[in-house]
Formats: sequence, C-alpha cells, structure tokens
Amino acid sequence: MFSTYLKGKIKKKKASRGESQEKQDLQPFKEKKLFEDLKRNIETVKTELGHSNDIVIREFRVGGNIQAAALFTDGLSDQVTLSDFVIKGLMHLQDEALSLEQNIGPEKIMQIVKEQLITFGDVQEVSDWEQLFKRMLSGSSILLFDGCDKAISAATKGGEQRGVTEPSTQTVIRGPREAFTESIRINTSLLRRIIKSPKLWLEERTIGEVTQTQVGIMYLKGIANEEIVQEVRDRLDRIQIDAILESGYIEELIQDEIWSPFPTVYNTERPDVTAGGLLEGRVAIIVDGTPFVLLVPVVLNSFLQSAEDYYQRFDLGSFLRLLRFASLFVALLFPSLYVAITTFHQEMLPTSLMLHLSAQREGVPFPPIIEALLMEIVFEVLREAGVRMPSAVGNTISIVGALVIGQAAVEAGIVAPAMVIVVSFTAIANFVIPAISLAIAVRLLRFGLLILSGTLGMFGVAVGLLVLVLHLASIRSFGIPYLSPFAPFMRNQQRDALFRFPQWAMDTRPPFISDDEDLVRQGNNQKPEKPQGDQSRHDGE
Amino acid sequence: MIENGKISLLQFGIAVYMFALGSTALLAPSIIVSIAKQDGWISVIFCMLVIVAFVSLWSRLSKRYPGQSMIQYGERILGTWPGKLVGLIYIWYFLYLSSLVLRNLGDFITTSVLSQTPIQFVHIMFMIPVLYGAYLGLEVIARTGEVLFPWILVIFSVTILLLLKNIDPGQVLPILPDGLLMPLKGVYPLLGFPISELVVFLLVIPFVKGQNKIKKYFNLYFLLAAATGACIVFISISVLGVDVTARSTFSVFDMAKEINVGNFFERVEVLVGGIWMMTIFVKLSICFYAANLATAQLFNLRSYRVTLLPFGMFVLALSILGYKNTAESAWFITTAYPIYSLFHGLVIPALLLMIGKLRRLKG
Repeated sequence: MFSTYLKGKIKKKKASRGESQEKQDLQPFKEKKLFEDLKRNIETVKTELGHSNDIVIREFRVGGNIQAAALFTDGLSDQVTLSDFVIKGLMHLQDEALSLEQNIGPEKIMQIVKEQLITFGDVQEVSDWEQLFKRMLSGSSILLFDGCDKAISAATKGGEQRGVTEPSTQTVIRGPREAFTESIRINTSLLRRIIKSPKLWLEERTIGEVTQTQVGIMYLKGIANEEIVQEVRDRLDRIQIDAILESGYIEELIQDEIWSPFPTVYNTERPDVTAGGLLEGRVAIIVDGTPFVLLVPVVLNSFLQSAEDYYQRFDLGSFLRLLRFASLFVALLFPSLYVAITTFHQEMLPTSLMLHLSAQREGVPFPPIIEALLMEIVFEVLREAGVRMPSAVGNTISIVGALVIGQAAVEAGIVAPAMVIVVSFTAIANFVIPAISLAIAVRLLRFGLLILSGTLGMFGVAVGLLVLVLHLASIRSFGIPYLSPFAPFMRNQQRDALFRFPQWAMDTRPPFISDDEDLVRQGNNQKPEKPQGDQSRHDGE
Repeated sequence: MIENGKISLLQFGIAVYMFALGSTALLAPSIIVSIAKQDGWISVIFCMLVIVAFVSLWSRLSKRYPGQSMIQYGERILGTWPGKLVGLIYIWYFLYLSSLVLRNLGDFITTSVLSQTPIQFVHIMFMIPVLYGAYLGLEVIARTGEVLFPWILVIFSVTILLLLKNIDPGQVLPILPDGLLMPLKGVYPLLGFPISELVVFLLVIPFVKGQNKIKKYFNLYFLLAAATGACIVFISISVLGVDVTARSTFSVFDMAKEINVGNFFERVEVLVGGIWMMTIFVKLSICFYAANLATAQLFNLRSYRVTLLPFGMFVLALSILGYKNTAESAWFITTAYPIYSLFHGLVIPALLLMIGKLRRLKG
C-alpha cells in the first residue's frame, strides 16, 4: 500500500521535471485569441475551469437575435451590480438603441454596450483568453457576444471582505486605530486617505504564476530615492514563483542579506507607520491577501521605534526609546551575563548576593548554562504553544506554564529561583522590542551567546558581540548601511535615532533614505514661542 | 580595485584612536612607569610632539601619491624588485605585529580572566571575529570601530568617575625631580609601541573620503589617544602608586579592581577589560587586514581574501612563538622593539619620501 503511494509520488515528481511542459499547462491560452462562436467560447470556459460550480454562465439575447452570455465567479462578483447595471440594460437594449438601426452586427452592439449601456467605472475590452480568465477570476464579469471575438469585462468586484479593524500587532495608546486588511485596494485607499498628495504614486504588478497576486509599489515621487525605487522594481520583476500567499514570500525573495537573522525589510500592519515611512522616502510594497505591508529600505534603528514615539511628547518618546534599547540588550544578554557571572566571575557580585545565589543553587544538579538553556527552551515551547492554542484554553497554558516553570521547577530543585527571574525578565524584555521580526532575531541569537558565555565567560560573550557587531555593520538594506545613522555616523540624524527630538527640531528627512535633493520637511522657526505682549489678564487678581 | 570600500574621515579618526590605544594602553603604563616613575604621564605628553612629527611625515608621503597605498608607490619609487622587497618587509611587519597584539590579548585573558584556559584556544576564539572582519573589508571594520567607540568613551569615563575617590594626586609628586631626562627616557618604548605601528594607516588612507583633511583628523585623534593614554597613566599612578603600577602587568585592569561603590558595585574589572577587547580587536583587524591587502597589492592578486586563512593560521602560530611570557614581552618592548618598529614607521617612509623627491616622482 505504502509502496504504491510512494511510486505515485515519484511519478509525480518525475512528471513535474518537465518544467516547460508544466509551465504551458499553467497558462494554456497565453496570447491565444477568443473565438467568434459563442457556444465554442462558453464550452472552452467550461472545460478549462473543469466545470467548476462557482462559475456562473448566464445566457441571454440582445437586440432581438444576438446571443450573449455573462460570465462571472460566484462570490467574487457583486451580482446585484451585474444584474442592475449590465444584464437589465442589455435585455432592454432592443427597445432603445436598436429601434434606430436594422441588422445591427455584434461588433456594433458591443460598441454600444460599452459606450452607452454599462454605467459604471472600469470597463475593458478583452480579446485573449489569458486576460479573460485573469479578470473573471479576480471578480470582473465577462460579457460575450455571438459572432464577436472580443469580450467586455466589467469590474463588478464584490463579495465578502474583512473590514478595517484595530491592529493586533504594534498597538499604541495614542494614535490611529486602523490596520490594513487583506484587500490591496482597501490598503492603498487607507494610505491615500492619510497622504492626499498627487506625488503618492502606485505601481502594480502581478506576481505568482498560479496565484496571480497583485503587488503594489507605493512611494512618494520626489521624496523617495529614485535609485531605491528602481531597485525595488528590479527585484520584484525578478521573482518567478508559483504562489505569493503573504508578504513574507516577497520579503524572502527581495531581501539583501540571506544568511542573517536580522530583518532587512520592515513589515507593519499600521497605515500610519507606512505613511510615516513613505514620508521619509521609503518604498512600500503592498501585497494583496495580507494586512502586512513591507517597507524598504530599513535600518536597525527603525525596528526599535514605535509610531507612538511621535504621538506622545518628545521627552516620553525619548525615554521609551532608551528603554527599548536597554531592553534589546537585556533580551540579548541577560541570561548569558548571568551564566558568565555565576560560572566565571563570581567576584563581580556583592558577597551577600553571591552567598544567596550559591545557597539557592545548592540542590540544583545542573551547571548554570544547562539550567539556563533548559529554562529558555521550556519558555520557547510555552510561548509557541500560547500562540497556537485556541483562545479558550489560552489562559490554562499561562497558568500551567507559570506553575510548572516557576513554582514547581524550583520546588523540585531542578532550577534555581534566580534563573526563573532571569529567564522571565528576559522574555518580558523581548516583548518590549516593537517589531516582531527583530524580536525573533534576538531570540535566536540569545542561544548562541548563552553557549559562548557558558564555555568562555565574559570573553566568549565579548567575542560573540564582536562578531555580531561586525555582521550588523556589514548588512545593507537596499544599499543603506544597516547601522545608519550610528555607523556611518550622521550627526544631525541623531535627532531621530536614539532620542526623539521635539517635532520642530527634526527638520530634515533622513538623507541616507530620502532623495537628497530637498531634505527640508518643515518651515523655519517652527519652535513655538511664548506669546508676546501683556498676559497679566490671565493672572487673576 | 582590490578594496572598493570608502570610509569617512570620522571613521578614519576613530580607527586611529582605537588603534593607538590598542594593546598599548593595557601594557604600556607599567612599562613607562617603571622607567619614568611618577613622571610617566609626562612621557606620554612628550609623545605628542613625536606624534605630530610622524603624522606630518606620513601625510606628506600619502599626499604626494594620492589614491595609492605605500606598497604601490613604494614599488614606483624604488623600482620593481627593491619595491617588492620593501613590500615583503611590511607584510612581515604587519603579520608579526598582528601576532604580538594577539598574544597581548591572550596573555591578558589567560592571566586575568580565564586562568585555566589554554592560550591557544583564546587566540583561536579571538581570531574568529578578526578573520570575519578582515573578510568583510575595511568599510565594515571602520563601521564597527564607530559602533564600539562610544562604548569605550562611556566605560572609560565611568571608570574614572568611580575611581575619583581613590585618586591621591600626592602619588604623582614630586614632579620632575631629576629634570626632563626621566620622562624623556619613558618616551623610548612608546616610539615603537604604538607610534611607529600607525604606519599601517598608509595603506588605509587611499580609501578615505575627504583626502585634504586627513592630516587634521590623523593628528587630532592620534593626539586624543595620547591624551587618553596620559590620563590613564596619571590615574593609575595616583590610584595604585608608582610601585604597584610598575610591577603589575596590566595596571589599568588592577586599577579597575579598586572600584567599589557602596559595597555593591565592585570588582567590575571584567567590564573595563571590555575596553581592551574592543581596542585590541580594532587594532588587530586593521593590522591583519593590512597584511592581506598589502599581499594582494604586491602580488597583483584579484582579491585580498585568498590569503586570509593561511595568514590567520600563521599569525596564530607566530603568536605562540613570539615570546615566552609577559615579562619577556615587557623587556622586548623596552629594548629591541622600538628600533625594529621605527625602521618601518620612520626610516622606510622617510627614505621613500626622499628618494621620491630626488627622482622627482609624483602621484
């Protein structure tokens, strides 16, 4: 039984090796024209789509004796629009337009339908099969006429879509509550609503041989660096793949550094963050079917910023940024430092604390490094379980987790209580990093540093950090050094890096991202001044 | 071009600063103090004059042949075969210097932190980032220096702040009891270690953006490093006293052991040791990179990366053979090394400049 199954698999594999043949199968009608005969056209549609039940074919008559058919995909097209504005009009065509002329041909009818009858926006003539299928399967309705080798496609896109909701990642206390949705059109409209400038340009491409996914490149002409925009175009055009199911596919196919845990493409589901990026000269890549929009180029610093830094006052914003940098180091280094100090450099601890820690560890059978690795792995398992759990049992896992890792493990003498503190604080610090993609990188690197610290102490940690810094200094994102504006150091960009200066002080766009023709982004003297003149009337008696 | 990267003036300056501190700031204080006693810090200040002279020689040479490294114009000035010989001498010098620096670090780590770990293993571990850095190229090393620089400043200033209560300026007295002779004697080891060693930047200068300001930045950051060095010597004398400073191999490290804030923040010398990890890393990677770059330029290799692994192993082996222990290294630094180093830092560049002038060659 199993062997026959295997054989089948091998056969399939062999078959798929004939690549060129398969390519042809996927696009049977590339360049091929429609037929004149309506029956034959309908038959082709039916056989090509394997008589799928959701393809609706509605045949009717136009202008007395001309056969016509409307084709659409059930669930993708808005049937009310179709019947009200298209079919209804066509059926009554006889009375109005045709009474004037006799023996009208199908070509002429098509002309009339297109120009006078269909009352809404996007209407196009289609003459080849590839276009026809593509449009029909993305929600347009197709009108075919007997004796005519062209078809009309009318954008009757409809069907169910998820509405705009609050973002589930990168939440803020103060700031807009909108998040992107799965529809590219809603997403571009959300951006247009924020930036009402004619300079906001959108270019669209279809990527994915099978999925035919719409991918949009959005940028602010004149602010975005033209070279970077061109680079994005080139990299997107190079993609040849069956399917794009999420922007993660695009991200992996266009990123600069393949062998790096660090993300060189930013992803966000917040329109305001995307708009902010666009206004700094970044390029947004919007993929249909996912609420996560990509932003390039990106530097390490951007992953530690939150939209709220700009919405709250600058002093709080700066404080939070410093806090995040500190958390980054805690998330990366705390367990390794703990292990290094307790194993190699006990003298660094105050004596009383050292005694305490040793007393705690008395019954623990493992060296600190094993203890730390054990706890980290248990925590990672718990976290992954928490994400995949159905929400109904989500609470259980946190209770079980807290009890198992915390209380029970300590009481059973498997780990020292201090280790529980270290691991849980590290985990919490990891959540402070606003961008998940960076948080993941830090999670991975923590293990490497942990092993180095357990074997070589602080020296190992230092060597690990040196390699890490070298690696970070070597990464580029679309040509931009990853550590800018720190290395290469740019003095006036420090206003929006480690600290967030007041709005009136951040007067230029980042020159390493934006087109550097014109970097000024606000007028002079935006610094608010105390009002002149006598204010004593407010002082009371 | 073998190296396509370009570095900024600031990056160049920081690299000079970190290179100059390098392993010197760790080893030299006790050596100087053992020669110049409590006037050791004055020796370092005297060094500033020497630095200005050296920098003006080097920058005159590199200004005369813009866009070319010493290896390249050496060949032009002296002719092919003598030029190649000089190139080989420098490649050997950079490799030897790399191995000495690596050994300095190995000694430091094995004597102060990991006393049971074989020094070979420490060396191998430390060569990993160095090889990686040299592989990634000058630009990345320079950027890494830029990232590390603020940390050095912060750790250094915090150390000084925390040591303020231990400072006893009386230890520095009497100033100049026997005239200028003693501090002048203290200058001697510093001529070779590190001043002459910075000749390696003659290979880096062609890749700096803003050639006309190189001399300024070279001087500024080199003098800044000297000032930092003077500061270190002064503080270690006034914290530890002349005797202890002269006798301890890594006096800065011993100085940091004195830190004690409220019986809580104490024995943090490992963090202070981090400074030397960073400066030694920058020094070693620039040196090692320069050795590879010089080889590629001398033998017209397509890439400097081919020699990375063989040279890396060579440096590892040489670092063990270099000398027996820290005492021998201190003796070497105070006797033969300055002459050896000056030959590369002063004699050859001066000869190149003169012969170039006589032959009326220009870049």
